[in-house]
Amino acid sequence: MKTEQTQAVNSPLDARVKRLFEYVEERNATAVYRSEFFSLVGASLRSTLGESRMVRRAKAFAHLLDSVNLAVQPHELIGGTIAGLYPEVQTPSSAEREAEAREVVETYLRSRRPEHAKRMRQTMYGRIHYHGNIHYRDLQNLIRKMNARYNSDQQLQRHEIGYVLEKHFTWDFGEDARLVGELPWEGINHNDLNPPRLLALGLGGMRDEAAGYVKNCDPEQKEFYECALTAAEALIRFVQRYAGEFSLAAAAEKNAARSAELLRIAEAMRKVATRKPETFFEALQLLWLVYTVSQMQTVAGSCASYARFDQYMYPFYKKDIEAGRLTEDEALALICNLYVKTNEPKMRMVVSLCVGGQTPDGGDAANDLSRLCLRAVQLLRQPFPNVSVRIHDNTPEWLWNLAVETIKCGSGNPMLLNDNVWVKNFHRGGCELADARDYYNMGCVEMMLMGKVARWCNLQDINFPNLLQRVLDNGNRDDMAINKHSASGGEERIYTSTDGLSNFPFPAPTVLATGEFEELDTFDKFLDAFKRQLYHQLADLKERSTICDRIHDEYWCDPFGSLLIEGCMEKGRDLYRGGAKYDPWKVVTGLGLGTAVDSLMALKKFVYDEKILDLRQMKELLDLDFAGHEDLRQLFQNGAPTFGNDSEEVDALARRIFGWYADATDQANRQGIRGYAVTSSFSYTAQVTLGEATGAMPNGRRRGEIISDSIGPSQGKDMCGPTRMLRSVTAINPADITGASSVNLKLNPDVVKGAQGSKNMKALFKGFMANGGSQLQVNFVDTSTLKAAQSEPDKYKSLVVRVAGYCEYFNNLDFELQNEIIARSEHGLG
Amino acid sequence: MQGRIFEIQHFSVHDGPGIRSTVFLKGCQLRCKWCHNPESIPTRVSEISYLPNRCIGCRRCVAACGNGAHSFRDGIHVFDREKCTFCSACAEACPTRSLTKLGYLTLPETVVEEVLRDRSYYGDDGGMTLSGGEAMLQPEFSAALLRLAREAGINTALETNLSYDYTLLDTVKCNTDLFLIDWKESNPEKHREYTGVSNERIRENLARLHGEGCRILLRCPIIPGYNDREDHLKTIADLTREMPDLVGAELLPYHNLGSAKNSRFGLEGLFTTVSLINPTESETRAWVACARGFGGRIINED
Repeated sequence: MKTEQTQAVNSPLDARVKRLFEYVEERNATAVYRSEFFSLVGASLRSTLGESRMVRRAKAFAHLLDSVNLAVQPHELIGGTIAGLYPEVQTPSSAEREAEAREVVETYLRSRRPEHAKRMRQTMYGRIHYHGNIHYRDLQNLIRKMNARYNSDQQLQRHEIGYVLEKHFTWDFGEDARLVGELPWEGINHNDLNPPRLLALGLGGMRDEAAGYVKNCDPEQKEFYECALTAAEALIRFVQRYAGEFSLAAAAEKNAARSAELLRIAEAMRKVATRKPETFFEALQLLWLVYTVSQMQTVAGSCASYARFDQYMYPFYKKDIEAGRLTEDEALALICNLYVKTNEPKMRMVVSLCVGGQTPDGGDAANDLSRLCLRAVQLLRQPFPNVSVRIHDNTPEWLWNLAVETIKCGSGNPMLLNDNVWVKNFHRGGCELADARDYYNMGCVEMMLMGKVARWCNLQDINFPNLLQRVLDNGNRDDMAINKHSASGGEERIYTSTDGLSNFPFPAPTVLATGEFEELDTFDKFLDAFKRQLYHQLADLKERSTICDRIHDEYWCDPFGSLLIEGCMEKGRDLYRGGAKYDPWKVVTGLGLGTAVDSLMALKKFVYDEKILDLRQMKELLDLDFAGHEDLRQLFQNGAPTFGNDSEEVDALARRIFGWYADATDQANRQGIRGYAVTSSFSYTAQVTLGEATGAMPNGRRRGEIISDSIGPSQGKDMCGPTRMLRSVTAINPADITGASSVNLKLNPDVVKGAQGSKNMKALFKGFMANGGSQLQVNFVDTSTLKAAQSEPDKYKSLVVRVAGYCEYFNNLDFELQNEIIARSEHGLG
Repeated sequence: MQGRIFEIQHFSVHDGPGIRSTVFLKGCQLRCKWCHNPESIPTRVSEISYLPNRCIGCRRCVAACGNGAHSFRDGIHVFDREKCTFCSACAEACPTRSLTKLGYLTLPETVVEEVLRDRSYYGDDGGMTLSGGEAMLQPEFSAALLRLAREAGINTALETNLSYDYTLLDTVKCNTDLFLIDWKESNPEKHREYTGVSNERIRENLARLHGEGCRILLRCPIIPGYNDREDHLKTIADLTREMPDLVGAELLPYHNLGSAKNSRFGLEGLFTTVSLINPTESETRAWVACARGFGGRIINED
């Protein structure tokens, strides 16, 4: 295992794919890139002042596609890249950078206020620092150095240093960025691009459809259709222009074989610029270019998903195979090309791809392409795409076996999804059954329906540990960064998705007093106060939803996305303004469940049952961060039962709390909001960042330490093996898991070696699915390897790990996020 | 009837087919020098485990112990095991789990109930395995566990050393799907040297069990410097040939856990343990090849 990790591509990978792989990894290794998006879009926006928002948006989109540099890269079999929009730039020497970093930290130190320490940093892994003007590894080095210098006497905490440095080492796009923000610029993101429609109509078909609507529509819809037409025509010109570039490249290429390949790409591009794709290769070429455009037209990258690739591509594959135009190996090489290119700099967002599951009529959907998609994962072992296998009652054994063998390759892919949970829940939530059967994991683990949903729209986050602290503070608590709200102050501001929740003009939170210490004299009363804090925090979902709707309706639009997503063209309305078949999923994220449950159990035991201290003393201890009371901290940490060990009492508490959260979320649906309010227990990177901003907890967790990730137990607190941990997780009612969820399982490879090991792994996964598990992802690497990789990163360049719902190179993770993964229980020892 | 167990280990994947829950019973009549569960050897109900590196010096154990077994000398925690009565008051008081109690009395119904909680993970062939210690030192308790598991419809396995009167097996044979028989050393004298008893009765019992048509897998720990000899490997091979209905033999390369656990439980005086370096994968492969060379049916995966 350990030796395999150092050399990912040692498999019988096609030599051509291997060269492309090395080329892309090399481009990711050290270089820094600067976006030309802002200058191109900015130029257009300056020339359209005074025109409507949507018209300006469409024209700027067209200008972007018409003027972006089109690069032709070596080795690739499918053409086109975002590289032309992101030229490589020279950066200052590391000595200069270090001096700069020191100055930044010194300046911060001089102006620092206590509340600054509660700000959450963001760039916990490489790709989040999308517009960084420094390589992520260098940023991490600077954080490490500054931390060593300024954290020694507790002057500054590591996350504060990270916060100011990540802010500082970011490109400044000046006036252009202001113009883009002011429009505001939104692009289809956290979605898919409805590939079935794209491939069925082709770009020409979509243009003709738009042109037809322009001629025969209501006057008030005319602007929408004209903008859609502008976008469609720009797409066609873009693909034609790219075809020209490849023709030129073919002519200039001295190697005859390569020249023929370039010509083949050029011909395919020329064809799909207007006509429908007819072969697997043409379909893939069109798909790739449109996904590239999607990535180009978003401000900080789009995680548009390939969704159910094995379904919509299969007819092309089957036809080619039957006609003898394509071999299985050729198809595999093309899929590998798609995967590798998804890992190109500035393309490598959390782009997902889903295989297997059910067809819209309920049959088994697995096919030869599902197999090739997993085979490509085995060969490449790169973080992206983020692959999932959907499991249902009739999933064939070969797909199960292939999924297990692929997981055993150790790159964290694929994750497993349970149709019995997701299809059922979406259908019960009001989606048509055939649509529900077309669900997929968008991005990480956010479940959407292919081509039909407006958006994944965050409505509210709750931090379960913080709710408990509020009870202790009788409501008066505002130390959680994600609950800070800026008052709009009468000034009309434009809000964009990149603002995040904290900057939306939501109503200011109100304080709910749930009782003084003396009143909370039983655990049931304490728990009831916790419940009331929870419902209180989610009481204004409808109001929040309406505010989101207003912002979407008035400000947001995307003609490109509206061309694609089902419903927009028929209704003549933008994707964001009610055009999509399904209004947005309105997402309420619940974080730190395991930490909160463990803390409540500790409170119950030590305050209410054994009475070794009272509630006031507990609160004082937490405020002190246990200083001087290490024995009590240890007692709280070790002495109470914890979530993740199949303890009925603990698991029942987790189920109850999650049930309240799901009910409070669903309340918004009962009140009749636009869209569908869903729960999400997916923590992304918040188990670290939110942890850094969260105070001490009664389970012995110190201030600033990690909180439990996603729906799982506190890291290291599941001590009875994987079956027990998974049983705790499935104690939570699957019907309450309506939007996103992830379960991390860290398995020691030694424990499931060989054929018998594979069989056992399959039994483990099948048991979890049978018990109603919604999602499962596996880190198949031992802790000692992770520790070695942390100290000697150069030897583990290809080590890929599962973080939350996504995979990433271990080297691309923030130090604290690496620690979080190391801290998770490793199952299968002893 | 209550039995003494020290652990139920879930997701056991090395004690029989599939995913299993292994119930470790306490007490053993052998003293294998390489034992990796030394805490299972004494027949008493519980052991006290002490991990000094987890101690934060809070002295709660000193206050809790009625026998003066815990004290602090120059700030260092001293655990005088001579004075320990295994009451476990110290373990209950210890906030860091530096001191913990292992082993308890329980009813067969309670054990099987817990085993069955994992039922959905057992798949086609997984289930419950009894191990130890030596499970057959508590024959009635073991028989009850196997019967209850069988009645519940899960696969049952019994890991045992067969170093006892054959009639003890009378009540367990009918409810055991698979016997995991430890074959530690082929030479009777060496067997006595390494484990404290000769292997003659074991061999006799093994043949009888095979003759009765029970499903048997031989499990052979291979300890470098002790039994990694050609003659032993040849005997293992011969056994699989002489007893055609044996599932086969599995060679288990030694792993060095026992000696560290010995001091954790204060059992250094119980028997002399060996502390060796774990064999490499290639050594293990060579043993397997050797036994196969003698015609042995060795089930190890390559």
